[in-house]
Amino acid sequence: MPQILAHASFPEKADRTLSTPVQEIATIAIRKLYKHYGTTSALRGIDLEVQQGELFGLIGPDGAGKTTAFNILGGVMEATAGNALILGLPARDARNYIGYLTQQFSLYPDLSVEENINYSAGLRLVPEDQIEARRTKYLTLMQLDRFRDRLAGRLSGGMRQKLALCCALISEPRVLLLDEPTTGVDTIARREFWDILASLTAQDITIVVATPDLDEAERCDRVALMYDGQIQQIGTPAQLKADLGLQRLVIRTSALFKTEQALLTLVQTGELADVSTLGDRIEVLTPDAQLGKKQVRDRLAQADLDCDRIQPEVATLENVFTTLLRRQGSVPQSLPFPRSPPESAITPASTIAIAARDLNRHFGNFHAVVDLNLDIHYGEVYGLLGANGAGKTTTIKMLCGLLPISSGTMAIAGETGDLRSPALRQRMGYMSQKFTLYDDLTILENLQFYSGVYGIPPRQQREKIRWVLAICGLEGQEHLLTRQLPGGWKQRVAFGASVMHEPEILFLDEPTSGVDVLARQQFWQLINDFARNGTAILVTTHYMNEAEQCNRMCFMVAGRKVAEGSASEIKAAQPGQLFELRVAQLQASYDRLRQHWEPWRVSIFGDRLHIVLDHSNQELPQVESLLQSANLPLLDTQSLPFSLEDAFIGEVQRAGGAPP
Amino acid sequence: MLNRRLFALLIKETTELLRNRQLVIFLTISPVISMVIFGYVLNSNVSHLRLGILDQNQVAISRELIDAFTANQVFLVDGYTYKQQDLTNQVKRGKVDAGLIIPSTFSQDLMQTGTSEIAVEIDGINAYSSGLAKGYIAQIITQFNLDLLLQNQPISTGLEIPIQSQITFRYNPGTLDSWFFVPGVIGTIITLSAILAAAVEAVREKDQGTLEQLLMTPVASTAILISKIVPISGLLTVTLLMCLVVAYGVFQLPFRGNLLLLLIFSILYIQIGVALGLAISAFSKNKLQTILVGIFITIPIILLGGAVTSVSSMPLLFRWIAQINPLYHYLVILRGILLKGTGLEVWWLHAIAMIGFATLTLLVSAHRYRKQLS
Repeated sequence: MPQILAHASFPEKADRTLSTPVQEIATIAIRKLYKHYGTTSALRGIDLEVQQGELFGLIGPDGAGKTTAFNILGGVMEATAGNALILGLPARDARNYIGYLTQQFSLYPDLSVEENINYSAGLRLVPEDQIEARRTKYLTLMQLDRFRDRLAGRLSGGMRQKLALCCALISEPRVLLLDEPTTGVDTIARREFWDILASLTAQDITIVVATPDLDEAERCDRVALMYDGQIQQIGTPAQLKADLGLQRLVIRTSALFKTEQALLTLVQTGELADVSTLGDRIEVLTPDAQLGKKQVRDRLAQADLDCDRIQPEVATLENVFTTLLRRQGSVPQSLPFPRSPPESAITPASTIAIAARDLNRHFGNFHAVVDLNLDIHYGEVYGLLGANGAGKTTTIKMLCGLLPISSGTMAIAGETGDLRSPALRQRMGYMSQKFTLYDDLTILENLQFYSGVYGIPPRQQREKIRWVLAICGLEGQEHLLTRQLPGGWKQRVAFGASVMHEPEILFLDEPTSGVDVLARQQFWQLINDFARNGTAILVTTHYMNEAEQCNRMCFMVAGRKVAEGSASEIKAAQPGQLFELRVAQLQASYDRLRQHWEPWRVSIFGDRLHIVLDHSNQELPQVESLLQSANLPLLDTQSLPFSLEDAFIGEVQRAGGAPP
Repeated sequence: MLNRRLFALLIKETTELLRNRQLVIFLTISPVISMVIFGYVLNSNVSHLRLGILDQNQVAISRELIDAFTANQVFLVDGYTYKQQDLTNQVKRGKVDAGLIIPSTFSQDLMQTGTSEIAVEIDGINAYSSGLAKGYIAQIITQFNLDLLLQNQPISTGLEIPIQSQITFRYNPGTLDSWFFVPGVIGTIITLSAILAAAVEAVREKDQGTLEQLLMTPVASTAILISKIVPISGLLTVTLLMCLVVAYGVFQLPFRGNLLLLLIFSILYIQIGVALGLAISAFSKNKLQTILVGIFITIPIILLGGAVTSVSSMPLLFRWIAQINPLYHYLVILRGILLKGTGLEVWWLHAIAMIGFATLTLLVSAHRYRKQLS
């Protein structure tokens, strides 16, 4: 891959023949951009400049105006006021220099990989004699060359997005606009995708990318936080985190809920900026780490609580983002769930809600789930993590009784016989990956339907529906047709619909895909609230920052469980060490290191390199000499703790990698 | 508990059904329009055929002959030509349906030899109407000949036409084609609507991905099945009633038999259609597949069921096949009640066949549908 890129023939700066002196103006220049749809304004005065070769991230909650901005930049939509210049040209005239990946799949599922590319090349008038060379170049870059003849509809999510990127690149655009390109793409494919983006910017392609995932945003050169049609903050991830002026304290304790309650009083008095529970720990934001640590210790001593460890860490982009939105006062409400009878906790006979022994599932020759053992307790949030095709959804469907098992035994809520009996279903809740609501019904009708089929008595029904509407912030809009709701809101209503009957066991299959950060936080508050009341919750996800919220989790690779434990346990169990390298020539150093170590060990994060080394004592000097011999200066080396994503990728790669 | 769940399901299905504007229009307004259109179009009476004329004789008797052609509106004179080549061209291009050629020696031959010849060219593309045109022409010429004979022979020869038939059309005294076709169109519409609408409605749950969520609720599969059958059958009954209103109001069908029986067997037939639709949905993965399979199954049912052509004029093999076509039995009953006023005593065998079909299709499709649910 690096070799291919080295030979890529992108036009050099000097070759560019545009009438205007391109070098002096920004590649993308947006001034006072407004867009109104009827009475709603999607963009309210945006100013933005993106320089050549920059990887620029656009982040914000649903409805912040990201897609509108993309449509205007892509020349698909006219702005109401203001102008958007690309390479000095109005966006509409610059379309030949732009590759635009919309949120919808732009591929034809019944055409093969190669035919899709040929089609795009034809549309973009790529000269015949260059198509083959470019196609080979980009397919090799995306590692899709083995799949030339496969139908696009039969590719995995990650491969499809890479193919879409190929189609956008075939005309060799100088600007790439990517609107949430990694939604529905699993962790491993996502990291690969971002590595590709980094190598493209090294070729002087300018990339603007929207993402709901703030871990991804860390990998951009600069990011803009959008909210309510305006850019609220802009800068490098490091700048933004520094500007936040807050430190993060990670508190380890066994009494999570009580500790959080105790510390919340400090938030009310303004001593701490924020307190939140994250899986097996509590995180606190404080203006000053030392002072904050003392305040926390004092408060916990006062409340007669002890904690194992308080550890200061740097703030994340997510902290920046949520703090900003909290100041805007746009945090979703969280209300206690109206239980019936109020505050009754589930008191089951056994503590284990879901037990699976040697679970297997075959689809023809394909062994989707292999000898899986699970024990999930009441009151526990358990995460099932894995790449696409690792067997998560198959597992959850077997546990739900939607899919027969090939062999093994299961006990759900103590029930081993008929796992499909209405009596058992009444005690279970399920929210599938997507579309759990009826689009043609109003929100209210949907909620009435689900409370009806779960046999909730009419009086409680009203109360519960009110609760769902309140947590979703949809009071007064319950007569809206569900199809009119944005994806994130739909997910929240769907969650409400699946918990109204107070299930003992809750299955959530990727509940937060497409949900923005704030809504995701609220989701987790609700999930934790149910767990505290004794519900056993099984969640699948491929967002690692979300997985951190689980009390326990397991990683699945090719149908097998490869690691299990709390997030901290899994990270601690990782062999080797993670290093952050500051280098002068990012792309060249990256390519050089990748030739020596397995590719997954090296990745680009913004302007830094991350490398995972198993034997740092011997390997670190090796890194230095390797870069030195190629005349690539290494400015700084720093050891970093593993993130859950690093741990996940490490586990998957050691277990033999993700399926193609 | 079960009843409340079923109630919730029924409410949901009904709301979804009624909110599906296209489907509601497809089931209420479009049947009326197609009834009217097909009722008129599938009319096999031939009239107003365009006639091209090449009259090379141009005398009184040749003009009389032309008048005989156009007297009863069967033919309308489209134009005169003066060369045979032109007339042949007009027929070829479809400008006229038939061309009449009267040679220049027509009246002379008639006077001298007592016989003469004319030529008629007919566009035979539409075998049905051209056949009828041929019949009309033969009739017109025969009548013209008779008139000529009567005029020219002395009365004393006592020329009489030997056999004169007295044909009485029972049940359809005006031999209105619409009386045959309208029940056929009703059968077609009900078949098409019931199978396609039920299939599309039932597959929607799968299509939009809500089926799994529904299966995770504690509702019984029987309740789901009932909720898929009842609302759509209700709407289809409305379709049927609208068709009957058009049949009565626009085409003045006589409605001679027992209306209650008509309703019972029509609803029974709707059930057969809905059951077939459910079965199709259980075999299909998405909406498009459902519609394609639905159309594939519906067309032979309609064509071989006697909706547009009479089953009794089909080849023997197809007459046998018609016996396993529910539409055939329904149409016998429908035409019997509407046109003849017959009751169970006449078509009880067909009635038993229909009840058999309804039971069988409902059982099979319920089984298929439930199998897909579990």
